[in-house]
Amino acid sequence: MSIKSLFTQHTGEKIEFVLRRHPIVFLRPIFVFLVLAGIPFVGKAVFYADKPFGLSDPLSWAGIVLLVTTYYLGIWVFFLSQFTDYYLDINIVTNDRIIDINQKGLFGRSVAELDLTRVQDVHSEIKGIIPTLLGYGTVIVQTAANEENFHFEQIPNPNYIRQRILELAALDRKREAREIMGTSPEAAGHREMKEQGL
Amino acid sequence: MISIPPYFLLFPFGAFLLAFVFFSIANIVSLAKYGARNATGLLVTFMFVAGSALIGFYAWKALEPIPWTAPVPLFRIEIPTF
Repeated sequence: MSIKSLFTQHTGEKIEFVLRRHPIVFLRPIFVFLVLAGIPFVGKAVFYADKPFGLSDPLSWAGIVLLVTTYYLGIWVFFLSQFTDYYLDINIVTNDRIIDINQKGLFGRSVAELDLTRVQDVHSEIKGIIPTLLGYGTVIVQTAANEENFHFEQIPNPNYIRQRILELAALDRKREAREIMGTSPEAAGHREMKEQGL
Repeated sequence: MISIPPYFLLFPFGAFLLAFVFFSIANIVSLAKYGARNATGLLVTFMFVAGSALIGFYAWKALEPIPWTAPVPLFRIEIPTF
């Protein structure tokens, strides 16, 4: 299954960008996971440094092992949920529209679409030391006042993406104008006159 | 003196395992259904399954010598008899 199966592509529609948050953003959940994974080792070093750790009391031993196993399986599945949330947030920009797929936790998902002709303004922002060094930031696509803006959070090369979306929007507007002109009664009349040699 | 066999501890652990399996499957199904099935998704799924198996293996090894059915005194409190 490719990215094309995530939405129905129109005829002649070409995917320009598939945007996800910058991979560096996922270092934070990795760091949190490593810290949480280290806690039982610290606990063992602090509380059982000079005590025998084993089968002296089977009930306590079984309790401790089951508790530690529960803890590790819990943080492991939590880590996978964090990855799923990161990985399934996708913004797709085509030469016709913008599709914003947003994973909300494990059981929530929203998909929003915006035709490029309705793009009013595009704003990009890089804020902070690490985003500046690594070149990732936010792109905000502004639409008509009564519609919700599209936010692409923590994506790589936001300035280039902004520029490209503006170019694509301009091209899409031109294409739509040509299509309207081609099908309008005046344009049809002009074509008919041309065909008759008038 | 109150005593219980250690296998009593397996009941809450079993309940947790059910929740763990449910959330694992939900995650993997979401990744397969809504994410592009590429190397990243497959690698993460494989790593998750391998990690879970590793945790399970170490837990199994640590719990192997426990006499699960032998009653173990829970609180060393003598109940007075009259």
